[in-house]
Order: sequence, then C-alpha cells, then structure tokens
Amino acid sequence: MRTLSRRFSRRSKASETGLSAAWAGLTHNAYVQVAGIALVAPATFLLCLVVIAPFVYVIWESLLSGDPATVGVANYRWLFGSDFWTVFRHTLTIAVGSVVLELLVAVPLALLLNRRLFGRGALRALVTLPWAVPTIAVATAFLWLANTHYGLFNQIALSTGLLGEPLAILGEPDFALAAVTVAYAWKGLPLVLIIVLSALQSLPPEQLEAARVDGAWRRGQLQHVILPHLRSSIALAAVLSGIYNFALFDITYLLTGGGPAGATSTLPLLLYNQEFVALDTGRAAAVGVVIFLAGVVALALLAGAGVARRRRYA
Amino acid sequence: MTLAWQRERTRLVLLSLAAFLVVAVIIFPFLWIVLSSFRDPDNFLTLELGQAFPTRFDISSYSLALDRSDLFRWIGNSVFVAGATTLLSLLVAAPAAFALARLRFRGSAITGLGLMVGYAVPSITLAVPLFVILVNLRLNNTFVGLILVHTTFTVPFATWVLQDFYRAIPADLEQAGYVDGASLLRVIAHIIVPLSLPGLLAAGAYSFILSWNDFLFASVIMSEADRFTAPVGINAYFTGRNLTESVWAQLMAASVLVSLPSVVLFGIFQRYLVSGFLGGAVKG
Repeated sequence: MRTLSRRFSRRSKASETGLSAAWAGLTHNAYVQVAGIALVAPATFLLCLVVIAPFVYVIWESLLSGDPATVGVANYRWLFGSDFWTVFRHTLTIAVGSVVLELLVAVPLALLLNRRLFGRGALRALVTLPWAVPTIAVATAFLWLANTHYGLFNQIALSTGLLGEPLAILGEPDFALAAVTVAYAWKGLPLVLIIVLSALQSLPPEQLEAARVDGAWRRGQLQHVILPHLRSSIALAAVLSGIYNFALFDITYLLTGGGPAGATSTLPLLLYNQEFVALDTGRAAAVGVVIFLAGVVALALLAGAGVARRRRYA
Repeated sequence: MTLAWQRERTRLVLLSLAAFLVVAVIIFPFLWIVLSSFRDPDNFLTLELGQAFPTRFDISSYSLALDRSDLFRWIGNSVFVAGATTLLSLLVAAPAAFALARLRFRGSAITGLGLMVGYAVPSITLAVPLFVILVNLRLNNTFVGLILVHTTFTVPFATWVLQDFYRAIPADLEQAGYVDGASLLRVIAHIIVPLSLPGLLAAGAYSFILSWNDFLFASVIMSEADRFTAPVGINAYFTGRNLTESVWAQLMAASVLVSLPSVVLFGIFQRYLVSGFLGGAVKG
C-alpha cells in the first residue's frame, strides 16, 4: 500500500516537473508524444477490436470461403448470378428516391427556418426529431398510417373520394416501394436539413438581406447567389444520406420484410437472409463488401466532382 | 413608418404560422402514433375518419402494453445496455478526442484512420463478422457482447462530437495552466474537463440515443426473450400476433414509450448535433 502510494506520488511529481519546464521545448514535446498516444490508445484498441479486425475478416471471408474450386470468386459469382441486379435496383431506387424527397423538403425548409421567425429554435428542434425516433417506432407509425382499412391515408382518401376502395399500400409492389422510400426520407430528413441549414448560416446575413426585397427573393438571387453557395453542402448531404439509406436495414425489415413478393427486397435484407436464415457467412460477407464498396464509389464520385469543379474554375 | 413596421410584423406572424404548419405536417407520423396511443383500446380500429382522433385522454393502452408483454424487463435491459455503452464510449472517446483536438503527436493519423473506417463501414456489413466473432467468443446473447458491438458506432460519433468541443476551448486557458506550473493531467482535470462538461453530456446523450434505438445488432445478438432490448422485444411481441384492436393499441403505446427517452434527450441536446452529423452521417 505504502509502496503504491509512494510510487504514484513519485510519478506524478516527475510529470509535474516535466511540465513545469513545459516551455523548455523538448521535454514538453516528448511528454506530449507519450500523453497523446496514451490518450488515444483505449479508443484505438477498441476500434481495432470491433471495427478494423471484423472489417478485415469480412473481406477475407467473402473471398476465401465457399466452393473451393472457384476460391476467391465463389461468393461473388453466386451474388452476381442471383437476382442481384433486381435487389440492387430496389436498393438504389429507395436510396436515391428518399434522398430526392429529403432535398425537395430540406432546401426550401432550410431557407424558411433561416429567417427570423417566432419560435424558430423550437421549430428546428421539432423538425429534426425524426432522427431520434427509434426505427421500431418509425415502422409502427408508417404501418399504422398505411394500413389498408384503418390507416389514416386510406380513410382520408376514401372520405374525400380520392379512392373508390381501400388501397393495400404495403401489399402492392409499387406502393410498398414508395411507402418504404417515404419512411427512409422521413428518418433521413433531419441530417440533410441540418447540413443545409448550417451552410446557410455561414452565408453573411448582409448578403442574404441584399438578396431579398420586401421579404421576397430578388430576381435571380436564389438561383445565382444562394443556391450556388449551398451546392457543395447539398451534394455532401445527398451523398452521405444516400450512403446511409443504401445500407439501412431495419426500416425495410420492420415495414415490409422485403415484400410483397420481393418488391422491396434490398441488399441489407439479402445480407441478413444469407447470414441469419441461410447461415451462409461467405455469401453474406460478399453482400456486405458490395454495400461498403457502393458507399466508397459514391464518396469517390463526390470527391471527383469537387475536383473537376475546382479545376474548371481555377 | 408604423405602417411598414406593421407590415413587417404581419409577415413575420404569417411566415411563422406557415413554418409551424409545415413542421407539424413533417412530424405528423410520430404525432399520430402519440395521439393514437391515447385512444380507447377496445374501439381502436374504426372505419370512420371522425372517430380516428382520441376524444379523451385514455392511458389504458399503456397499462395493457406493460401488462401483457415483458416490456418492463425489455426497457430495463435497454437502460442497462445504453447506459453501459454510454459510459464505455465516453471513457475511451473523451481522452482520444482531447488528444486529437489539442495535442500534436505521432499516432494521431492511425487513430483518425480508425475513426474514418468506423464511420465508413456500414453497420450491416459489420453485422456479419461481429456475429461470427461473438459466437466464437461465446459472447452472443450477452449484454457484454451487445455493448461492445454498440461501441462500433457510439465511439466514432462521440469522439467526433467531443473534438469540436475541445477545439472550442481557448488555448490561452490551457497555456495559463502550464505557465502556472500545472501538469498536463492537472490542466485536463481542472481546466479541460469542467469546460467540456456540456460536450461530455451531449456526446453521452447521443451515445445513449444511438445505443437505445439500435434494432439491427440487438436483434441478431440477443436470442433469448429475457435479454431482448425494448425495440427487439416489441418487434418479437407483435410479429405474427393477430393484430386485434387491443394489440394495435398496445403497439402504439409501446412504440411511444420506447421513443420517449430518445426524444427527450434529443430535445435537450439537439443543438449540439451539427458536428456529429457532419462527421458521423455515413454510419448506416
């Protein structure tokens, strides 16, 4: 006990003398090197354990498991030989469709919420709330709204004469795909809105004021001044949200389970079924790698577009 | 002069009203399950639009939901998992964020890379290897396993949020500490930690929300009903059940209950979200 406390006091003393000479340069620098590594070590170790190692493993597994005759490509050969392109098309439709919806709502809404309004803080908090709603509750909400007989959508459509008879929204392939897309957009809207809003806030207020006359946009100011300023943020938000929605599993799983008749089957659902239903880890891993690579491609396209733009204006 | 002022004011009121309406429409799906959860569970399913709105404040759906299923236990499990995940995440993310934001040292690059990969690899991709690894370590169907897995997204997110907070602390304050002869550890304890307390709370709140809301990992790792978290338990309870009036009503109540902690925490800390969003958005 005593040795421990002595050792501790000695060590802390050493560190203090080390730093009282903080401005002597070298000693401080050496200390910072050690301290920096010590401070990031736990997080780095944990992330290596739960992210990096599993990530290496998933690539390894996707390449080296499966039919030994075609080792290396067996799982990918299976994947592209299955109904991959149908599932890919659904996934892409949902991801792109939801991002378009998000942008159509987020950009005008950001312009509105950037103005002086009563209760603006509360409005911003409320409208970003879907981000915090658990996906299980998102699924409940859309299941309930889309219910064939008792859902509000059908009730309103029927009572206003928009529909002659109730529509089984989640039972019709096209409508089910649309419903899933809307649910994704609902959950993803806050992300896009916040990114666009923070870009708007970085515009000098005088510039925004100058762009308006009597509260309305001066002719051409929106297209030629405001939107160009937002362009890179909108692109970033769209790509980030698209990657997120492309890889999103639980809303589709809970809302339609991929149905009806596979109309809303997505790559994350395909992975889930391979890993946890068909119990084929190699094939699931191949799907996982493809989902990851789709995100990488999207980011590369974004970066490439940025470079091309800069070059054009250089 | 007065006329212009009045016109300005009218426009402000009208715009505010319009904004409130738009926001109400957007969050309507959630509002609707909240409203529906207060309806009478015995007359829950109605074909009449006029009866779809609650006429009185009825909480029997909530007592039914808590009564008929193991919702209490599942919520308890969720509190434990999300709480432990939050503590573990802050414990490793706070020092790392401080070092990355304030210290120049070798090794920051590799940590930064780890964070990037942590963001860039979607959860669904990680689900495959993590599940296999947990099974091999016999950590599947355990809280420890689920907590470790949740750190794959909470640690990068918390580190990102916290870095912003540490960067915002003026360097002068830190240097004043050094000039007074304090060690790095004392500067951290007496200057950095108190000043970054709001950041720690915000990062903690977000870690809690992310862990609490998780469905994917909890559903593949927990196989026994005793250990379900709330979202998984709710899904298991209502899947395959005949959706009668009372069961629909319970589903509304259970969904609102499980949303409550996240929504409240988010309401308190939402203004700190920007940095985390900009960094952590790729996580699927």
